[in-house]
Amino acid sequence: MNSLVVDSVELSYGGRSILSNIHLKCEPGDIVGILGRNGCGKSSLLKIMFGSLKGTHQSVRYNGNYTDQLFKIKNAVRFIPQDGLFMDYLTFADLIRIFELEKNLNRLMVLEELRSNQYSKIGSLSGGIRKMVELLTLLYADASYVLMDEPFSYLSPVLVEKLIPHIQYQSKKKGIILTDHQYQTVWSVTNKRCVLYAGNLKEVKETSELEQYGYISLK
Amino acid sequence: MAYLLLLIYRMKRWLISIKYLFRDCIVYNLLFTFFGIYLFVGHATNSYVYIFWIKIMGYLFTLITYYWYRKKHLYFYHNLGFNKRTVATMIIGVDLVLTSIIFTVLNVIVLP
Repeated sequence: MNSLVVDSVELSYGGRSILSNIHLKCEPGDIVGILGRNGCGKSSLLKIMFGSLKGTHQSVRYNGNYTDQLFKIKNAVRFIPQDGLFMDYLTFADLIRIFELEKNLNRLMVLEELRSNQYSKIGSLSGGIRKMVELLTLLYADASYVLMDEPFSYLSPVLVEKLIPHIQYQSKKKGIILTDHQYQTVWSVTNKRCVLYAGNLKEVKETSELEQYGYISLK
Repeated sequence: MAYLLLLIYRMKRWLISIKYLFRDCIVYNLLFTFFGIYLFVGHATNSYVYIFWIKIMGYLFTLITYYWYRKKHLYFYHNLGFNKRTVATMIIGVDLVLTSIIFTVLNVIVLP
């Protein structure tokens, strides 16, 4: 089984410590939700795991082997950044060929949003549909892990409802790590939850702990 | 034939990346090549030093512009398994091949 272990992650910007001594383990079947206040380093942590950002110190192990750039290992990881990543002139039909999604077409084409827009350029799609195309493309692309930075932002509630079964279906064979501010949605879709508090990653079991870490106010 | 098809399949990620990098970036670098052609036609072999520096400026301009304005697209290439250095190497490599072909043909046509 392909395991992903992130350990001793440290990150500082301009002398300010953002992440310190982070430890996170993920295995196929896990859906890990990372919560935290704005600017606490959630996106940076995902980028460090993916390999596109170098921390002050980090240790990322994939199958027990240390790696600086996890994305360079074939089919190890996919990352969906919050601001999108695909060129405007690409279409979903192009992405099917690029990321070899042909074997998953029967599941993907059930979605009206993808079926009716598969030949439309991504740049011409609405923010929500564009996000959905990006998420589903990389969710279904071959990989052991998928990192999703704010997957539910830009999505209407009905699109979030349509996306969740796909995340759960893919988690049967992949490990999924996601961050988002819609904590109730994150809580319902994940089976492991952590909160980034004062640079440290704390595992949480109850929503009341989120209040304790200053992430929500239940009053 | 089967070996060639297998090789093409294994190079698929590279070919895809080069295709989109050409459209996004390399095509703009050709403007610097065309300026070099203009110099070459006017001054022939005396222009080599100028062409060399024009191409260096072109690479710097293209890579910096790409990094600043299309930074988020780097994640597309990262998801295909390529880091920044490999992407830069592909951009420069493909442009060097194109520039070499263009100037080899020009040498045959322009120089006696």
